[in-house]
Amino acid sequence: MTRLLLLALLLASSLAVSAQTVVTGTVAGDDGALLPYATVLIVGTTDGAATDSEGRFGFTTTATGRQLVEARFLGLEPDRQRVELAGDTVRVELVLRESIQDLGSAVVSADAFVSGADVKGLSPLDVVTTPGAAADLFQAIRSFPGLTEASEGAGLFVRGGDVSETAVLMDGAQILQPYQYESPQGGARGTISPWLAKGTRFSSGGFSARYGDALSGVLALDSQDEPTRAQQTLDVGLAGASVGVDAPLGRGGLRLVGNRSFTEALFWVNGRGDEFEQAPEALNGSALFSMPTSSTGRLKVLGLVNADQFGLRLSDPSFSGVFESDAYSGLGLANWTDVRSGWNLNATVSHSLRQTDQRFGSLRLRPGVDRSALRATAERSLSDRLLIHTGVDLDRRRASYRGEVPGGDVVDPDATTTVFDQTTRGTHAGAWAEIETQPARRVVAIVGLRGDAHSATGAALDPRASLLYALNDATQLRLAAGRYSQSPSLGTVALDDAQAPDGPGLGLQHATHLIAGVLHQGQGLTLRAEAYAKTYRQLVVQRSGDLFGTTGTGWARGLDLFARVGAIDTDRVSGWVSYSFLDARRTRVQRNGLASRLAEGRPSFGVAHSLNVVGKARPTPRLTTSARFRVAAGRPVTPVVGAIAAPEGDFFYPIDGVPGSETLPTYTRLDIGLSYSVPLGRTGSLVLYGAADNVLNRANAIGYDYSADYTTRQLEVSPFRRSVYVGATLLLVSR
Amino acid sequence: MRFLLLVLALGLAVPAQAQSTPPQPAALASARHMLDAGVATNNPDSLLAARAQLAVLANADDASGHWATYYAALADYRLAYLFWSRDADRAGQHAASGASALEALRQEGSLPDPLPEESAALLSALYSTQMGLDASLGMTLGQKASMVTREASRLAPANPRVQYVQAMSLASTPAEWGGDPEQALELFRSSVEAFEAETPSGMAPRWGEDEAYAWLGMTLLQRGELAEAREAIEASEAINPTSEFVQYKLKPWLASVEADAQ
Repeated sequence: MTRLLLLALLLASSLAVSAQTVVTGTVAGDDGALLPYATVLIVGTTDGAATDSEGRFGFTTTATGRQLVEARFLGLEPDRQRVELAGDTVRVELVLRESIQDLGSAVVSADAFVSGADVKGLSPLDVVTTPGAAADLFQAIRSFPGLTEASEGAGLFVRGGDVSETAVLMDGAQILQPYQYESPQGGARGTISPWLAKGTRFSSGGFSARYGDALSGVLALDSQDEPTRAQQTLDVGLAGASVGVDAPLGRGGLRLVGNRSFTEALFWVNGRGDEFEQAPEALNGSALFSMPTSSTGRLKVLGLVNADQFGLRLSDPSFSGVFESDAYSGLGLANWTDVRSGWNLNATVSHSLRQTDQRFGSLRLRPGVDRSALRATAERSLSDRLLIHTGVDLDRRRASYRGEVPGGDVVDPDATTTVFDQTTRGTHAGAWAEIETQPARRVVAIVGLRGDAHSATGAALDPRASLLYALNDATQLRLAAGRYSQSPSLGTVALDDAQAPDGPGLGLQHATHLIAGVLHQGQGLTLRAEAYAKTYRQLVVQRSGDLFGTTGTGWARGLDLFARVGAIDTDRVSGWVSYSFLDARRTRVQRNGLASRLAEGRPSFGVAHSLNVVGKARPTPRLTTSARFRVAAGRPVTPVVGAIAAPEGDFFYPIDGVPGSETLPTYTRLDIGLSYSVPLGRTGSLVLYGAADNVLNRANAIGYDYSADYTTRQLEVSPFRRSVYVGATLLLVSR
Repeated sequence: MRFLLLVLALGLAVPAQAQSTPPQPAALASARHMLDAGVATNNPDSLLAARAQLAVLANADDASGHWATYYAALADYRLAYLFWSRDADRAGQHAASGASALEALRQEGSLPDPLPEESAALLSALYSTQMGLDASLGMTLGQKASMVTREASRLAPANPRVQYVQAMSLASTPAEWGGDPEQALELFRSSVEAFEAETPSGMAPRWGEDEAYAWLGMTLLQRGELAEAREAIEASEAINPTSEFVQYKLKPWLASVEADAQ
C-alpha cells in the first residue's frame, strides 16, 4: 500500500514538474540594444517577469500549449510572439519598435488629425490677451492662417469660402447665429464668451466625416465642466458690463454669465459714433449646468441667448438713411457623455432659433429660422492600431422669410419691391463612419464616409481620407482629401420657393478639398506649412431678378504658413506669425441695370495676402503687454462702369464691370493692449486692462462710395480708426 | 517513511501553489521595497525595475493586482520627477502612463479601501505633473485634476496624502485661478500632523511625508518665517536625506535667506 502511494505521488510529482515550462529570453529595441526593466508576460495569465539590467528575463509557467508571450516597455510598441509550452525551456527574443504615440500628439486622436489651421491650443487667456480682438473668440481666431481679412468684423472667411460655409458648434449643436450686430458688412462680434468653452477646435479644411453641412471650415467648441469652487466676476468697461457666477451644487455646478453691451461711452471717449443713429446695444447671457453622472459620465444643460440692436447711417447711391437692425437668437442644449462597454458615447439634443428685423430704405427683411436637432456619436478602439468612430445627425428646421425686397439692389423708397411671406420646412438626416488605422509604424490613415439627406435640397455621399507620415518625433507630413456638402440656407430656399413655386428648387452645394502640409512641433515651437486646392460646384447664386439657382462654381488655391513660439500661460514672451496666400474665383452676379448675368470673378472675400503678427510679453508676473500687426492685400471689388436711369423714379440702376476686377488699397492695422493684475487679499483679484486699436490711425478702405448717377466715386474708409478701450475685472473666489 | 511522504507532498504543493495562484503580497512587498529604495537613493534603475515588477503583478485580478497598479503608477510619478530636468519627454511619458493606468483602475469600480481616495490623490498629483511639464495640457487636465482632488477630499478629508496634494494645488495655482497660499499653508501643516499620526498597514501606501515637510518648509520660507521653515526642512531631511529638492534647492535657499536676514 505504501509503495503504491509512493508511486502515485512520484507520478503526480513528475507530471507537475513536466507541466512547468521555463521561459527565458531577451527584450531589445529595434536598434538591437537590449532593454532593461521591460515587462514580459504570458498573455491571459499572471505568469511573467521583468527583464534585468541587461535586458534578460526568465520565469516558469504552468501554462501549456500554444501561448502568446508579450513584452511591454514605456514608449515602445508591445511585441507578441507565439510559443509552444510543453515543459523544458522555451527561449524567446522579443523586439519592441518605436511607438507611433511618441511621434506627436497629433497622432493620438482622430480629432486632432485634421489638416488645416488647428487652433485647439487657443486658450481663453490667449483670446482675451490678443489685441484688436476685443476679447472676442472669433476675432482672435482670425489671426490664424487660412482666415482672410475680408472685413473688420468677426466673420470667419476660410480659404476662399464665404462666412456661411463655416459651421459653428457648441457641444455638437449648431449655433444658428454666432455673430452679433449683423449688418451688410457682416457680424461685428461673436456671441460666445471665450470663458464658456474649455476646448476650441478650428479646422480650415480637410476635416473629419463627423462634420457635415459645411463647405469650408468647422469651429467646434466644448463647454466647460462644472466649477470646482464658487467664484464671482464683475467686468466693467467702456463698452459694456458683465457678471459671472460659478456655483458648485452638490456633485455638479452652475455657471451663469450675463452681459450688457452699450457702446455710447466708448464712442464718446473716442469722438466717434456719428455713423450710428442708435449706438449698438446687446444683452446676452448663458447658463450652464454640469454634473457627473458616473465615474466616466457627465450631463450638461446649456442655454445661450442674445439680443442686439443698432441703427447705422448708410449711404447708397439711390438712398441715404439709417440701416436698422434688431436681432434675437437662442440656443438650448443637453449633452451627455459616458463610456459604456468600451464605447465612448456622446449625445446632444438641442433647439436653436434666430429672428432678425432689418430695415433700410425700401428694403425690409424679417427672416426667422429655428432648428431642433439630435446628434449622437460613438467611438471605440478595436485594437492597438484600429479605431472606429461613427455617428448620426438628425434635425428639423423651419425658416420664414417675410419682408419687401427691391429689384436691382436699389433701395430707393420709390424702387419696385416684391413682398414676401413664405415659410419653408425641412428635415435632415446624416450618418457617418470613420476608421483610423496605423498600417505601418510611422503611418496613420483615416478613411471616412458621410451621407446626408435634406428633404428640401437633396442627398449626398461624401468620402473623406487623411494620411499622416511621421518623419521623426517632431515632424509630420499630412495629406487630406474629401468632398463636402452643404445645404443652401432654408431662408434662401424659402425666398426661391416664393419667387418660383414651380421652379426647379435648390440642390446641395459641394466642395472638394485637397491638402498637403508639413507640421513641426518642437520644444516651445510650432511650424506649419500647408498648400491646398478647393473646387466648388452647385453654389447658390442669384441667377436673375430674385430667382436663385445652384449653378455657381468656383475654385480656390493657396498656401498657409504659421509659426508659434511659447504660450501665454507659461512663457514670458510668446506669440505667432501667420501668413496666407489665396487665389480664388467664384460665379458672381454682374448687374446690368435691372437685369443681371452670371460671370466668374474674384469674390469680395478673396484677399490675396494676409499677414498677422501677434506678440505677448509678461515683463512682471502681474503685467501682460501685447501687440498685433496686420497687413493684407486690399479686398477685390467690382467696379461700376455705367448706370441706367430708372423710369420709375429719380435714381439709377448700376452696370457692373468684371466682378472682383479691382483691388482696394492695402489694409494695415496695429493694435496694442496691456493688463495688470492686483491681488485683493486671499480671495480676490482686480485686473485692470486697456487697449488701443488701430494705433497708427490708418484710414483703411472698405469699398467705394458712388455718386447717385454712378459717374464719380470715392474711397469709403473704415470707421474703425484709432480708439482706446479701458476696463476692469473683479474676481472673487469663495472658499 | 512519513517524512518522505511529507517532503514529496510539499514538493508537489509548492510549485503548484507558486504557479496557479495570483502573486502574493510578498512579491508586492518586495517590489514596493525596491520602489522605496529607488526613491531613497534617487536611483532610476531601481525605480524602473520596481515599475516593471509591479506591472507584472498588476495583472493579478484581485486586490493585490489593484494595489500593484497603484504602486506602478507611483513609480511613474517618482520617475517623472527624477527625469523632470534631465529628459522632459521621458518624464511626460511616465506621468501620462501613470495617469492612464489609474484612470483605467478607477473605472473598475469595486476597489479595496483605501484605494479609492489614495488613487484619486495620486492621480491628481500625476495630472499636476503633466501640466507642470506641458502647460498646454492645462485646458484638458486642469478641470480633471480639480475634480479628482475634490473627490479625494470628499472621500478622505483627513488623509495626509489627500491634504498634501490639495495643498500643492492651492500653493502652485495663481490666486485669480483659485490658488490660495494661506489655505495651502494650513493644509501642509495639517498634512504633516496627519502623516505623523498615520500607521499604515498591509498594502496601504505610506509615501509623501518628507515631501509635505519640504513643501511646508518652502511655503514658510516664501513667507519669511525662517525658524519654522528650518524646522520643517530639517524634518524632511531626517525622513529622506537624499532628496534632491531639499539638498539642492531648499537648503541653499534657506541658507541664503538666513544670511541676508543677519
